[in-house]
Amino acid sequence: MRPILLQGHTRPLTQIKYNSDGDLLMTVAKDTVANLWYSHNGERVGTYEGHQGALWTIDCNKPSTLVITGAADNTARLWHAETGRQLHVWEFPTAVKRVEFSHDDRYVLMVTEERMGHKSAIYVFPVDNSTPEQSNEPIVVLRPSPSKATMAAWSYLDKYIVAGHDDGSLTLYDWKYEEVVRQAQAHDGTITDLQMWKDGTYFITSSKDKTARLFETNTLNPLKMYKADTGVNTATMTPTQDLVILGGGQAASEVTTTSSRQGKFESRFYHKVFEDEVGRLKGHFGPINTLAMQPDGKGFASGGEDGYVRVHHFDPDYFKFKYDY
Amino acid sequence: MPAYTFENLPASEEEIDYSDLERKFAIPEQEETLENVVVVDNLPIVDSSKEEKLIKVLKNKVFKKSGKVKENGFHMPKADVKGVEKTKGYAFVEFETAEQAQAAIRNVNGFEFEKSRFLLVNPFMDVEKYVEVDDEYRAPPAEPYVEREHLRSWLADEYGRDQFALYADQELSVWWNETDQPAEKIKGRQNWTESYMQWSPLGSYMCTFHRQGLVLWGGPSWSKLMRFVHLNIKSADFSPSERYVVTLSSDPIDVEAVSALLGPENAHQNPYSAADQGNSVCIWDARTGTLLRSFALPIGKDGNPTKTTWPQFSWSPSETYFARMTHETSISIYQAPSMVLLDKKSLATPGIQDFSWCPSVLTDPRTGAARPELLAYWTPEEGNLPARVSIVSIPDRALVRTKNLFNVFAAALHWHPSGKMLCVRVQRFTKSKKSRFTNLEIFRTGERDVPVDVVELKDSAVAFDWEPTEDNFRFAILHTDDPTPPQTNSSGIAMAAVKTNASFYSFERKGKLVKKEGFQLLNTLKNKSATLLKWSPHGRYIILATMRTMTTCTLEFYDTDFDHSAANKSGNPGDAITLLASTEHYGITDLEWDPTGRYVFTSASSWRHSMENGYVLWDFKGQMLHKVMLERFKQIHWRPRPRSLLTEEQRRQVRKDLKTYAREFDEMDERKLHAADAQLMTQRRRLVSEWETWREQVGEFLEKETDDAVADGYKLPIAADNEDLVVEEIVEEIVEEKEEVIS
Repeated sequence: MRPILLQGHTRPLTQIKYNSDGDLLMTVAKDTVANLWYSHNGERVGTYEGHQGALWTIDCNKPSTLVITGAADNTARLWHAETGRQLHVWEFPTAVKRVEFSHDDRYVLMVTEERMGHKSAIYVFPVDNSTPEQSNEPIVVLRPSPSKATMAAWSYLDKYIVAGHDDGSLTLYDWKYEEVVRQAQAHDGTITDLQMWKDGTYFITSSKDKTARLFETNTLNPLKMYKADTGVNTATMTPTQDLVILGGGQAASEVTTTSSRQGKFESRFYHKVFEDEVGRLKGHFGPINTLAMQPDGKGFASGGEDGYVRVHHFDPDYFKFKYDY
Repeated sequence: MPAYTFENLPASEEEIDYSDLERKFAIPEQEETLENVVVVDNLPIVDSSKEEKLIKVLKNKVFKKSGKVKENGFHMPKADVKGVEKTKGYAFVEFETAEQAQAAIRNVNGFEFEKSRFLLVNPFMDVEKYVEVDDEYRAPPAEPYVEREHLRSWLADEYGRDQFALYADQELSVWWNETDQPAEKIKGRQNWTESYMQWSPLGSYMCTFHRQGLVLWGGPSWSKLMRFVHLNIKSADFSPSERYVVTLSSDPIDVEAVSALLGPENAHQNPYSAADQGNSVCIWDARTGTLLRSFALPIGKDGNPTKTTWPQFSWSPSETYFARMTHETSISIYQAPSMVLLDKKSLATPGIQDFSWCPSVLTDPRTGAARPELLAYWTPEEGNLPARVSIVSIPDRALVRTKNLFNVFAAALHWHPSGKMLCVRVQRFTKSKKSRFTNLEIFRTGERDVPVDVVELKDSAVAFDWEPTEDNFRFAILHTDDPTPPQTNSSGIAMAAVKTNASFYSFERKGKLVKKEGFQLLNTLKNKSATLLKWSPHGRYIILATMRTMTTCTLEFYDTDFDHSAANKSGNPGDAITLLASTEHYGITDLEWDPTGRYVFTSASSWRHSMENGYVLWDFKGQMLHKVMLERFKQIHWRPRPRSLLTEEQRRQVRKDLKTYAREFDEMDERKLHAADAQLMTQRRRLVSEWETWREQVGEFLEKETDDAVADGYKLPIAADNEDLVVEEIVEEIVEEKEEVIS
C-alpha cells in the first residue's frame, strides 16, 4: 500500500473529507486555500480561493454540487463545486470550526468558536440547491453550555444534532425545538473529532484524554473504548472491515527531543468490537490532525501537522483480514 | 462564678473574680520526682574509716563522666555488724538532672570497680516500680493462637511461575509472570506505597514505605504482616535470612512525636524509649516487630556524623554478626540477637575505605565443621605504609591474610557467592602516575593459606561480575581504554556511550592442557558500548547492556557454553561463547534477571526520564515476549526466591532427567494455551453477538423512525446506487508509425 502524497498545503491540515461517491477528496489546512483532488490518483482538480484566514472545515452535499468551508476569518462560504465560484458568504462574530450538510442536504450546521466575549454557538442555516442566493437568517441557534462546543454532527434522519464539548461532554439536541435531550460526560479531555456512522445511529469521538470512544446516538450510552498512548486528534470508522482508525501524536509543543518514533505519529487500527489494537501505519512526521474514510471502505486519507495529506488505497490483504472468533 | 450582666458589673478592678482564669491557666506544680536518683549496687562493704574514701572515688572517678552529683547527694546506708558499723554494699546517688542519671546508668552499669566486682546501677524509680509488683504470681491471660499465613505459598504455584511487583503512576500491583499471554494481576492498590517498593531478600515480604514507617506485606492474601514505626523512613534492609530489619530515617527519632502520632490510646505501640531519642538507625525483629536496638549515625574523625551510607549495617551470612564502618577509622561488629558490640570494642582499622563480609559460611573440608566467618577490608596508602587488603576471621579477629599493594587509586571488593574467592579490583596508577590500569587480586579464601592470583589488565575495568555458580569460578569484566566516565545529566543518564571491551576469565586447575594453575583469559569481545554485565542467577548466560545512556541502548545476550565443538577443536573453552541475540530497548534504565534465570526484565523508569516509560520481558535467549508501555512507570521487580533446598546430587539428577520433566511441562503449557485461547474465543464470540443484536435492534428502530419521518414529509436523501460505475476511457495506441515520402 503505497500512499499518494498530496502536497497542496503549506500549513498543518485541519480537515479532509471525501464526497459521498468517494471519487473526490476535499482538504483544508491553516493556509487560506481549500483543495479538491481526485482520490484515486491524487491529481488536483482545483482550489477554492477567497478566505482570508486559516480554514478549519469543509463539507459538500450529496450530489457534490455545493461545497461549504468554514474559516478563522469569521466567515463560512458556499462554493460552486465544479467551477470554484464563490456563491455566498455567511458572517459570524468568531471563527467557524465545523460545517456539515444535513443528510437531506436542506440544512447546514456551523459550529463557531468562543472568543472575545462571544459565546460558542451552533447555527443551522437552510441551503437552497436551486439558487445561488442563500438566507443569512439561521433557522436555529443552539447555545452550548457550560463548556464550548468543539464538534457537531447530524444524527439519523437529521432528527438530532450531537455536539462534543471542550470539557469532554456530549450533548444531544432536538435542534428543531432548540431543546437539550440529554447530556453525558464522555471524555476527560477536549473532544477533538466526532464522526457519525453512515446511518447516524452511533458515532465515534476522539479526545485529548488518549482515548477514542463509540456512543449510541439516541442514549449517548458508551459502547466501546479504544486506548492509545497519546492524545487522539481524530478517529474514523471503516465501513466494511469493522475497524476504527485513530490518529494523533504528541502536540508539536510537547515533542521535546529526538526522533519521530517518540512522537507516536502513526495511524492506529483497532478492532471495532474487540477494542484490540490490530496494526499501525507510519508515515507522517507530525501529529495526525484529521482522518477520513473513503465511503466504499477501499481507502482512507490522513492529514498531518506536517502539511501533507497521505491517500491510502488498501492492498487486497487488507480485505482478506479476518479476526479470529 | 456568677456571670456578669449589665446590672451587676463590679465596681472596681479588685472586685473582679479571676478565680476561673487562674484555675484555667495555672502552671501545674512541678512534681518532685526521683528520676535523678540512681541506686548503685554491689559496692564493697567497708567500715566508716574507708567510707569517705569510697565516696570520693565514686564521685570523682566513677560518676564524673556522667554528670554532677548533688551536694549531699550521696547516701550510703549503714548497718551494725557485730558492733562495727559497716556499709550495706549499696548507695543512692542523686544527680542534678534526670539526664545525668540516665547517663550514669548507661556508663557505669556493669563497670568493673575492682577485679570481678561489677557495679550495678539502676534508676531509683525502678525500685518503687518493682516494690509494687504483687508477690503472688498471676499468669497473664493466654492470647488465642492465630495462625499466620504461609509466607512462601507462592512457591507452590502449579505452573512454577514467578511473581513480580510493578509500580506505575500511583498504583503498586503484584502479578504472576506469563509467557504466552499477558501477565496475570494478583492484587493492585492505589497509593499502596508512598515512595517506592522493595522485596525482602528471600521474597517473603514486600516492603512499602510510608511517612510513618515501614510496612511488610505477604502471604496468599497480601495482608499487612508487620508495621515498623519509623517516621520519615528513607531506606530499609534485611539480614540475609530475613530475621532482622534495619531501617534508616533522615530525621532523628523523636519519641514524643511518635507518641503524638499514635495518640494516647495507642501509647503502648510506641516502640521507643528515652534511650532512643535522637538516633537514626533502628534494628527490628521482622517476625515480632519489636525494636531490638537503635543506633546513632557513626561519628567521623572530625566529631560530626559521617555521610549517610546505605546499607548502614552489613550482615554476616549466619546473621550472628553485623558490622558497620566508621569511615577511615574502624569497623564496629555487633552480635545478634543481643545487639551488643562484640568484645565491647570496635576493630580499629585506620584509613579503612570499604569492607565486605564473606557471603557464605565456609566449612572445613576435613571435619565438615563451620569455619569462623570472614570479613575483608582495605586501607589506602598512608605515609610510608602501603595500601593493604586484609581478611580477618570473626569473632576471634585473627588476621587470615593480608596483602600489600602499591600505587593504589581505588579498590573494590567482589566476593564470589560461594565465599571461596575474593576478587579485589584494584585501580592503580602507572609508575608515571599519568594513567590508570586495573589489577585483579584474587584471594582463594576456600584454600589453605589463601593463595593470591593476580590478573593484570592493560586498561581499567569498569564493571565486574562473578558467574554465580558453585565451584566453577568464572568472571566477566568490562574494561576500557578511556577511563574518564562520560558526562551524566542530573538524573544520571550518560550523554554519550564509551567504547568498552568485555573479557571472560576462568579458573583452571592443573591438568593436561593447563600447565599453570590460575585464571586464564577465555575470550575478549571487542568494541562494545556496554555499561553493565549481568550473569543469569544460574550462570552460563550473560547480558551485556548499555544502560542509562542517551544515545545507545543495546542489549546483547550471550551463551558462554554454546558451541562446544568449536571449543573442543581449538582447545580454547572461550570459543564456546556465542552471541544469541543483539537487540535494543530504547531508554533502558534497569535490568533484572528473574530468580530462576529464565526471563529478564528491562525497564525505562520515569524516575530517570519520561520517554517511552514501561518494561519489556525477554527470555534468556533474548527473544522479546512482552512489551508494556505505562504512563509514569516507576519500578518493576521480580519476587526473589529462597535458596533451593535440593542438594547438589539431587540437582544433578534433575538435570539428568530433564527430558521427562520437560515433556510434562510442555503438555502443561499446551493445555494452558488451549484453555486461554478457548476463553478468548468465547469472550470474542460473546462480544460479536452482543454487537450484532444491538445493531439489529437499532436497524428495526431506524426503519420505524424513517417511516414516521417520511410520513412527516422528510425527504430521504437519494440512495447512492450500488451498481458499479462504468468508466469509459478511450486509449489510443500507436501500433505502428511509418514515414513515407510522397513525391
